[in-house]
Amino acid sequence: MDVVAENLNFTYSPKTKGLSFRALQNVNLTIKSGEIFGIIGKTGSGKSTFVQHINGLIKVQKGGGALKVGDYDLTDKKCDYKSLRAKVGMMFQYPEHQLFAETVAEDVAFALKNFAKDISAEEISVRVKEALSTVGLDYNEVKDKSPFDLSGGQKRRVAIAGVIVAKPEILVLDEPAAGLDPKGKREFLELLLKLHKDFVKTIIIVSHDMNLVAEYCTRAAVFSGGKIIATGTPKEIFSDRNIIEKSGLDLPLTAALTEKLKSKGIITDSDFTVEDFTEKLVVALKNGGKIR
Amino acid sequence: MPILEVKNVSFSYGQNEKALKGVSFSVEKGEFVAIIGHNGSGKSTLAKLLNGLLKPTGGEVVVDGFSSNDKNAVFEIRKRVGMVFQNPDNQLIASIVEDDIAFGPENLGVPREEIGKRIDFALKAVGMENFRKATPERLSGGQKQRIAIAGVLALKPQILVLDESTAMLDPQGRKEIAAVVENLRKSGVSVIAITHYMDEAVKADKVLVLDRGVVALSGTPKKVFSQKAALDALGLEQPLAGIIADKLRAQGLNIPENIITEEELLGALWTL
Repeated sequence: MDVVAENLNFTYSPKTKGLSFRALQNVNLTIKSGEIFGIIGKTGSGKSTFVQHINGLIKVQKGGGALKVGDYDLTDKKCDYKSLRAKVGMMFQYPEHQLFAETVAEDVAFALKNFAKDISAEEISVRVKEALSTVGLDYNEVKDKSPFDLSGGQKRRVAIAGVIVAKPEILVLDEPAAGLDPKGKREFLELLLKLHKDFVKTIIIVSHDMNLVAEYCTRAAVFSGGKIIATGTPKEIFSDRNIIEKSGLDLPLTAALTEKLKSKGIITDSDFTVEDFTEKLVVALKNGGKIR
Repeated sequence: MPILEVKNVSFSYGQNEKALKGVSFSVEKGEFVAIIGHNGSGKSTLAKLLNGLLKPTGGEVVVDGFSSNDKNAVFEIRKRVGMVFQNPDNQLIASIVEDDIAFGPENLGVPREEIGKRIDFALKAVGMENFRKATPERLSGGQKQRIAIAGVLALKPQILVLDESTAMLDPQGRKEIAAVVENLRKSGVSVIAITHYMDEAVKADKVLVLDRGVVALSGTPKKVFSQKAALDALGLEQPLAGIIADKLRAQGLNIPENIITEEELLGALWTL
């Protein structure tokens, strides 16, 4: 399922003078099936408004342009949002705040029961078990526990299990690693890579963390003032001073180092992942004869 | 004499296992202390003990001479220790910035003319002088959080506790808060920041690592962050500059150990 937005516009409170706010302006973007796509930009740049369009949480406004997700035409009045939402899973910031059921198993099963009313109890337990094991939790150990008795990292795993249990093709994550400690963060991001390999076709990540974007995203779109000012690989985006300054974003550390090294004549050409950056830097230094 | 002393403090929620077990440390006037640790290590419990939101079940917290064990001292302690939490939206209550900042001093019965001065002082300290009549809900996350800090500064605390106050902010917002912290430090206010961002902890005078309710490591950022194996075992990691330095060293470059900032890493690369 590709996500294709053409000339997408959105205005909050369009009829209220003084309060109306144009959050998206002529957004054109294609996110291909199979990508890990980053949506980046400052607070208030339109990122969240855009991603909430993808599963119809925000409906395309009249005359607001076109949006297709796979075969779903979101400008069509007859669009089947319910089946769309089963295919586009969305995880908000601090998803653990949305856990509510008495047991982990019930919490994970909640969305599934809503999407497939006639599903059998056996099928539910099979799917819940599968979802929990996919996120690295032991079904028998956690199923009867209260989600509130788990650690922060575990809670977040339960929350994502509750999304992937519906077997979405696209997973949209808003700040997936915020608030996790460094180890929890690394483990959670590795889980996302695993999900992407085995389970979910497309992952869309909204984040302020440029190190994360450089490390994990195949491509990204930069939002600024409701517009997309650049689309490309992390390498293309973070090599372009103009984009960075215009969007008010930080550089990932690898790109910041690359820039400073360049000013001293040490040229590296990496994709800005830590692994590639260090390898290319070692080669550059050796070729420059700067190694004692 | 330290402005804050945490002496062998323990705490448990009800009958549960102790969330803190014999924690001790002290904070000097104007010192910036970062507290890090994995989720569930006891950081937020410790923060709440510092201004008397929670009372230690063992040991004591002494703030400017007032002990947490003295029932009558809790207001004196709260006057001296201000807290700012994670979500700015949960901490602003008025519809105009100046009213929000006045709320604390009004409750303490500060005279009207003095409140006006306090608002000026607090807004200036966080660099938001031009937003006195603004509506908090229309501000950015970083601006809201600066107003939340201003509301606390209007009480003229000697210690400011930031409990993951930058977790929900974008990079710009985090920079704004870092600048405020730097400013406060210079003016003699002590800052205790609980954070998951290792690059914030690197800027502190002292880093405290909590693990399962005890202080597992403490010292200067340099000392704490150069203990790679210990950090790994505690569910933490070095700042990214340190990770990159390690990888370069592993590939044969002559990079010194215990590099923790971008500047140090570049410095090491220039001298190769």
